[in-house]
Amino acid sequence: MTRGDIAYRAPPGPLLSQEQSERYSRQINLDEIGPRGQARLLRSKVAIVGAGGLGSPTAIYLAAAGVGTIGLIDADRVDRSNLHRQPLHFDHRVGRLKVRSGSCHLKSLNPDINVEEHPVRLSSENALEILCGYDVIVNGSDNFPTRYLVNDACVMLGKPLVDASILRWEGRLSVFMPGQGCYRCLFPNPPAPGTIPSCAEGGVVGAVAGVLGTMQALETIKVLLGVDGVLSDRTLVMDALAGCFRIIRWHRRLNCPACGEVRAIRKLIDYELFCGVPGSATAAGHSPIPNMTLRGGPVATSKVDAASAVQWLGDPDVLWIDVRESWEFKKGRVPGSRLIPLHDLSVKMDQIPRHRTIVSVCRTGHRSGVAVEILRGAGRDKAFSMDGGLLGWENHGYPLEHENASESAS
Amino acid sequence: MERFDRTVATGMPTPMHLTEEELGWVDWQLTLPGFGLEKQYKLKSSTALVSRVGGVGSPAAASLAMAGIGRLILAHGGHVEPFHMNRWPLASTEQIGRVNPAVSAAERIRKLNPHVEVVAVPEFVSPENVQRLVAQADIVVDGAPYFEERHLLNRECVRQKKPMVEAAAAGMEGFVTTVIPGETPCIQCLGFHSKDWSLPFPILGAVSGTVANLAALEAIKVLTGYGEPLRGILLFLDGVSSSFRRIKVRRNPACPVCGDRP
Repeated sequence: MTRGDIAYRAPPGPLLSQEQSERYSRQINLDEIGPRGQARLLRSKVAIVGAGGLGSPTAIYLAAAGVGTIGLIDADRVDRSNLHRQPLHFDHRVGRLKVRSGSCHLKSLNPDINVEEHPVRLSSENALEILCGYDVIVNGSDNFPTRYLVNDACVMLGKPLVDASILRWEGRLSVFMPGQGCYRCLFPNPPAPGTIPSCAEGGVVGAVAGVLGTMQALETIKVLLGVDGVLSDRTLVMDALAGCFRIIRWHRRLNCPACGEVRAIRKLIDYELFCGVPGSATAAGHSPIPNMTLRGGPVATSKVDAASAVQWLGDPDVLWIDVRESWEFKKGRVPGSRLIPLHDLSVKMDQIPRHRTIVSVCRTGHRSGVAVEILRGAGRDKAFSMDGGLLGWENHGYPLEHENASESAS
Repeated sequence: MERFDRTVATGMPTPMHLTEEELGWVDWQLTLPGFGLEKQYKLKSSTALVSRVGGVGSPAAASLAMAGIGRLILAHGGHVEPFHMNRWPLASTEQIGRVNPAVSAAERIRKLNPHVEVVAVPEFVSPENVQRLVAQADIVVDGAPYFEERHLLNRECVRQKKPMVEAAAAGMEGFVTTVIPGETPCIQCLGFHSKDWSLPFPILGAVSGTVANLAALEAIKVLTGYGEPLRGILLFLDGVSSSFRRIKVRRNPACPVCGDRP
């Protein structure tokens, strides 16, 4: 999207009222904003899919920044177990519709803005109609069918999509600008049947949702302002336990069924069927290994736990790929594993045989989950991510191989 | 409470300090691998002092409250002002000009998580109150815009050997680091000076909010002993490119605050 894409008509008189100049003064003096940028934000409309862990901080910071219209899309009601990560909702509003609870809070933060409540579950029937009225769409949904639905709808409508997902202490964030690739370019296939996320099982930390949700607001503001530096064709991956962030570059796929040269997806499909949600026609499992359920984005398709994986040690048919950085690899690794850092994986794909069983390993299981997505996308169907990573491996007391003893002790 | 029973059966300390309602509250956090009730209890029995509950301090305090910290001491003088509103997620518009920021934040945090004890101190950290405030806390989260105030808190934390999470944001940038006295550099070692940032510097809420949540994560890691805090590492956020840099920092043995011969 360029600056010209949001219809802008200069109002008669000053761009901002006295009250607005005062309220937004500390951000108007940013080079990226200025009075014109602030007026642009006030005229902008942003839809947030899901008023939960990610959507809460996004909505709060968009409201604080003076984004004129915020559309909240969520059919759920506030539950007590939501509160540890959803600062849009308060204890005394348990039981109320999330869009209403959120709207109350946003209006008290900033009465200058307009909140549109959509207490519905986004579906193939209503998505285009609801989303078409907004300039940017933010995806804070907690399930894969909605994630693919929102992506396809944004591609069809030509809307920028800001997309984040979280899992335990980790998360990722990308921006999909029209014509520059979409979620399906990055994750062509939904996770295998049976891996549909369960928030309760994976566990989440509120502050991780806070970081990623707030950064979604930051990216949205940058897209609305039309400034450089937006996280398009890049993905930010966060590991909060280690305090590490990485940026993974990726490219639009010319053969993407949603945004590629030949667009196979011309209308919204049945996304539950596409993702193989239990109960729909494609839900028969095909993975030989029982899958764990995860929350958030497609950070893993198939996983193997450390206790099962250890039985593959020494098996010549199994290829162990360590996707961490070289300095981490030197400190200790699964014996016989081979180092291919995640950011090199796509480039070195031709060195990875197609028909071997592959176990990808990282520190916690997050990067290796992303690696499995990439491996499976490239036809390595027997790729698995080791659940819990090296931390879990070490916790079981399984053998580690070191470069040398002094380094491993550091 | 299935989880409650299971942990009792596995011989974990009976979580007398967490009510069933609180357990339901943090249910999704307790399922984190390796986190569990023991860590949750550490959070519950901890007190954090948050110096200034503005763009950095208030969301950090809110995230700590949501994670289930036991007690928060919020220190901030003055009133909520209109120009605060672009980055203070706990203040509300009708409080402008009337309500003290610490009182405003405390009120909102109690509604976010009524199980947290919140103490509002309606004054800034000063030479008069710093010793008393730091003495009550297990960890300090520093979100002051003035470096004089940061250095004051730094000296007291080093003196009382209290860990301190240093978080700051200005313009489209911010940083977070964790100071463990005697182990990591203190902010005096890092050589920050007030002249580096002159008020009122520009600031975007989404940048200070990101740094704030990172600061809360640091405090959670230090208090629970889970994960790797940013010891001796400055994590820099460049909001323009949404990228981060980790910069290794070293102690200054001749540091007048935390050096070997102060």
